[in-house]
Amino acid sequence: MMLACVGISHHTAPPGMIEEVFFSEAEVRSLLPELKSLGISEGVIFSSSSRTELYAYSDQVDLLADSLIYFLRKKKSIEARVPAANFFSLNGSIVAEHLLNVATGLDSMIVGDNGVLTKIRSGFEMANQTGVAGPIMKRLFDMALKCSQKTCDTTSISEGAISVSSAAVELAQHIFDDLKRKTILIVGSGETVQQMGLSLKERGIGAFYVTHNSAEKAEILARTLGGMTIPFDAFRERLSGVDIVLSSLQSAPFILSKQNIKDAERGRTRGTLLLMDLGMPRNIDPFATELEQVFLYDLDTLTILVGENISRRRAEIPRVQAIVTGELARLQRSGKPWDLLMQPRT
Amino acid sequence: MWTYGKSFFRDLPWAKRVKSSFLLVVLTAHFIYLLARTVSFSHPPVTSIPEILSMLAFSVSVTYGVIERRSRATETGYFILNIAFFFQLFSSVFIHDMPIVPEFMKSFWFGVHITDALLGYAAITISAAYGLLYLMLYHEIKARQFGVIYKKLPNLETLERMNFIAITLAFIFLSLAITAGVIWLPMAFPGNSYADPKLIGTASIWLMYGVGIISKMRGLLRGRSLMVLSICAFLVAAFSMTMINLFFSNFHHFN
Repeated sequence: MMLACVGISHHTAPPGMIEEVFFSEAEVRSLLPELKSLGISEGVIFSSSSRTELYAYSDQVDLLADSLIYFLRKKKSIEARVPAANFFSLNGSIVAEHLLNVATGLDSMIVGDNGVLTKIRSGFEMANQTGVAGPIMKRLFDMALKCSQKTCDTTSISEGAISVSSAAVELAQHIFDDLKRKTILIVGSGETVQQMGLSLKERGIGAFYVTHNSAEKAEILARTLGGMTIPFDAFRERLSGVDIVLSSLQSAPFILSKQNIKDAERGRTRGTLLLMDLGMPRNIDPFATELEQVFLYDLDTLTILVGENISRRRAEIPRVQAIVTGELARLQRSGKPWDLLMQPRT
Repeated sequence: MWTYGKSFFRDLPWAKRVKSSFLLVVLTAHFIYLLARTVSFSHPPVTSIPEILSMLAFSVSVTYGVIERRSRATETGYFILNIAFFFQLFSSVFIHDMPIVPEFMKSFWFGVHITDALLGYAAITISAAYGLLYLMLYHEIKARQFGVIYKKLPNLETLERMNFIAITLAFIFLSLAITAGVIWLPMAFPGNSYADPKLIGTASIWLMYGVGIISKMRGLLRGRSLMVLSICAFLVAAFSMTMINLFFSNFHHFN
């Protein structure tokens, strides 16, 4: 009897290699029936942009990690590009512990990032539907999903933005109630503002306006975000009607001067104005911070926010580890076959 | 208050789930208690300071419950229900039965007048509490200090909306209290004039909140200024009512 896991993740390989081993859902589905030919009684495969893992259980043969790794590499035809040394292999009690660490975000590159959870769930569901997952995998993955849920409910390890663009969204959500009723003006077309625009679009922001000193660039970004363009020499007059301004132009002096902001504030019928200055040099006069209902932030602030969120997540690690340890102890107490499977094998 | 605290500070999922239901249960129990007292002593439970404090605790909790339902934001409950808790604690320690109460205190209009006034002042207190929470969050966001307040409180716009609901409720209840008082005064005290200091004080506070509501609706007041004004209005209301009660002798000293 043996429980094993092989896979590739940020611990063992660079991002490019991990991407090479990515299996789409259709590929996973077609792969599952072939596991039986390796002597695997039960198996689950899940794959995301950050990791690919194969969980296998056999009640008859000792599973060889090398053959499982070879199986994955062969199926993706990457034998030449991704060496077996970039894969990891685990067995016994470590397998269950590893799965719980992955599901709770403890094993993620950014602690608490549980984006892989949907892949774990769909991987297990596919194995279940194709009859490859039996009672062992069911118990293991049920425990992992429950543990992840418990972690989400009782700790804040997955809370808080961990990228600059999501930090911008987080800040906006701490100021505004309903982003669907808000209007955003993007000045510039850099990668960061585009990413922020897309993040805000995902949250259903009401309307997008884009302006740029190159009308062509403004048009491209407006099309990407589903917004409208405003001529660059006229955007200042529209300030009183917008709620959020994202600015990222290489320009000096300030694109929004003290007088522009004062005029906009005076003519405003709306509530608060959130300004995000991502330009180098600065696009917006820092005087804006002195105005009562104007909030001005720059890239440094967003980076600080991300840093604080990551620190807060790290502080939650012991609580999550306690949950994982508790679940593993419960699994071990549940008797055969777990007490046998939990024995580490040499 | 305990479950709201557990939910706010510890993020406990069960506390998040049950806190609003707990509030409803407590409010129902408190209402039954006040009703039982009314029936037992044949007068509304507003004849002594501990009774008034119990009514105030109930009013604060009811007003908060209404605001919570309307805004769908439950994170501020701990702060507001703390006020109600201390009112009720004081009331529970010092409450006593009043075997003899003046006849006018048994009047229906008296009950309506006092209940509305207490609900109005409870709403004023809550609006100030929301004003304070708004300012705390505002300063954290402005100063780029992303601490517990930033993490846990609802966003600035929601707090502003909750404050405005409280102000509106304060205005409505004070309107009802003044109307009931004006109807009831000649019935209970035929010789008294409307130039009573407490009546004038309450009418001034009512007017102040009325002007505040119109200013907000016309976009003249918003955000931080509105919150500062609502805290100032609460302080003015509390100070003027205390001064009137301490230094003016009038028919409004019911007990």
